[in-house]
Amino acid sequence: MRAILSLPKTWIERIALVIALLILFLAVFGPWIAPYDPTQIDLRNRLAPPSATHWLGTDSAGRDVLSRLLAGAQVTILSTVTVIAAALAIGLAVGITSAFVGGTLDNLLMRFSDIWLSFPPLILALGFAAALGASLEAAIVALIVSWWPNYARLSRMITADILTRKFIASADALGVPTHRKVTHYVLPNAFDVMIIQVTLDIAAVMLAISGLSFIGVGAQIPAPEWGVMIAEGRSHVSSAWWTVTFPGLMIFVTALGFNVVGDMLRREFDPTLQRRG
Amino acid sequence: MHADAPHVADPLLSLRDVTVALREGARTMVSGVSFSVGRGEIFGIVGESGSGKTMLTRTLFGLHDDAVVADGRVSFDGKDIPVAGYQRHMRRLLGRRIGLIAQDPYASLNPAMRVGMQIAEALYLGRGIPMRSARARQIAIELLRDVGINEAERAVDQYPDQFSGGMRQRIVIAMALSQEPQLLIADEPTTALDAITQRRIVDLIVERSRTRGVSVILISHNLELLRQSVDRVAVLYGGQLLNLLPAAEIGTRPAHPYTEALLACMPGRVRRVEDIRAIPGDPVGAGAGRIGCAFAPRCAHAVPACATAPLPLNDGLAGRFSACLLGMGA
Repeated sequence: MRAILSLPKTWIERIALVIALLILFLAVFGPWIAPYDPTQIDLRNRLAPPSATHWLGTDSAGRDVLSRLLAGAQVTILSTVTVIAAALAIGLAVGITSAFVGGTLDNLLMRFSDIWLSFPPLILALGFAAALGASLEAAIVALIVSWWPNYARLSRMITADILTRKFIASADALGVPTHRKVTHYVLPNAFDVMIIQVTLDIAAVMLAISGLSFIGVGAQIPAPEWGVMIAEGRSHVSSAWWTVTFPGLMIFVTALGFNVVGDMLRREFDPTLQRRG
Repeated sequence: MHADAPHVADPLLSLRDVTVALREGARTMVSGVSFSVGRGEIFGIVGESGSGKTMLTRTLFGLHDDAVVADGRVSFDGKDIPVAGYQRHMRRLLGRRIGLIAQDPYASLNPAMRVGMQIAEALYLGRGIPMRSARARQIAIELLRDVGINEAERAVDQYPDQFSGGMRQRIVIAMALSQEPQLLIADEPTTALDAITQRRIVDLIVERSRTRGVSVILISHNLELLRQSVDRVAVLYGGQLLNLLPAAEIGTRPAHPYTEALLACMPGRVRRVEDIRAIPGDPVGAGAGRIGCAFAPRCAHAVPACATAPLPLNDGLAGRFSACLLGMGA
């Protein structure tokens, strides 16, 4: 933790790191610190402007915008983490297998990944929504399915590169079994690059989830999801700007925060840059 | 000890007419090589780039995926290694009875594993000592101390990039010794290091092997370096074994014309710079698939028959051998 806190070199990076940590904090504690129930309807207080009781106003059903934003962090981050973790697991398994086995299987798996990659995630998600019904779960599945080939290709490339390095030949001479080569030689040496990619992907996946929810194939009303909130407030934007502006700002700030942190990690850990000693 | 013996009585490793060919196209890279390495013997293989020395040893020890032992007999510790499934058989010996010291210490250690764990891994794979046991750690510390690493207790918990090249090569040597092999292969173990460190590392390999009674095959392009360290030297050129001789005889007794030519172009061996004599012509690569002596086109003593007559045979157990048709250095 102290190592992470010492990384930022500029004020922008310090702020971004604070934002990222804050969002992660909200993802865990958001629902508890929200002043109101994020799904509580109060029709007498519809579209109330920001005030002392409702700091960020209320939406078209009188739900407290601040509470929905705070609780929404959990929905968004949890979905994002699910998508990335599953895509990473599938991608690493496919990519590392591909690089280790090589030959025909390698070609087959990579061409298969290419085929999946050729579908735009939104189109794929629409297809899934049509098949599974529009829900947050369907959106998550759709994103996993369209995201894993990125990791498969990346991990195949890194693994193939690591396998050509001389310490692998030395490991062969020692008789290191394949499973140990994966866990102790490939994975730790691939970690740097993968963690950078993952951090940069957090923002992209988050935007995709909100985007899918916005067009109606992701989370559904009244779930406190930022994309859903924008979609719902869209028709009132001229009279009740707060219903759209604050969720939009939240998405913007979060995406920016994680992107800057990703770039910072890339700068610190990119193996192509000179390391100490 | 083997220097004066006319024959290697009880060889640890024995090659007879070994031919190495590329898997693809079956091109012959090294042909008809015979020699034996005695128990506890420090054996040198010398040759220019492209002489086939690395091709021969990498294939011999199952580390080359693109070349195979196509013909001949190889035996280790009295047992023949069948040509069918050769690589698989050899791999079984690697890391247990045959240790390897890699060329480039900067690249041959896993950058993501602590030095102590890498030695512990070698200990586990070679001798079945549990990796995280206190005993493995103790042996690792002793080995590091034995190869001259200061503060070995601290070093076991450090990562390879916290050490210099010479120190890393010492760690690699410690790993190879940890498996208590009968034979240690050191393929150009010092090319990545500076001249003084080279000498120290070679001395370290030789000394630690002698005290343990481990046989060593030291591969180098530097005849002078080998001459001072090993018992016998095999001289390879163009994929052929041209000369096999006790290191003590180099420079004191006439050798094969190629060996003599190698010596004459060695800066350390002559008094004045003007006396350095380059070998005329360009070196041939291994794998020309030729009949006759590969060195004939560049040899000052060559007669027409040299290029066409097959090389004299060698039974593989001889203590010395010269492939010269004219009997030079025999």
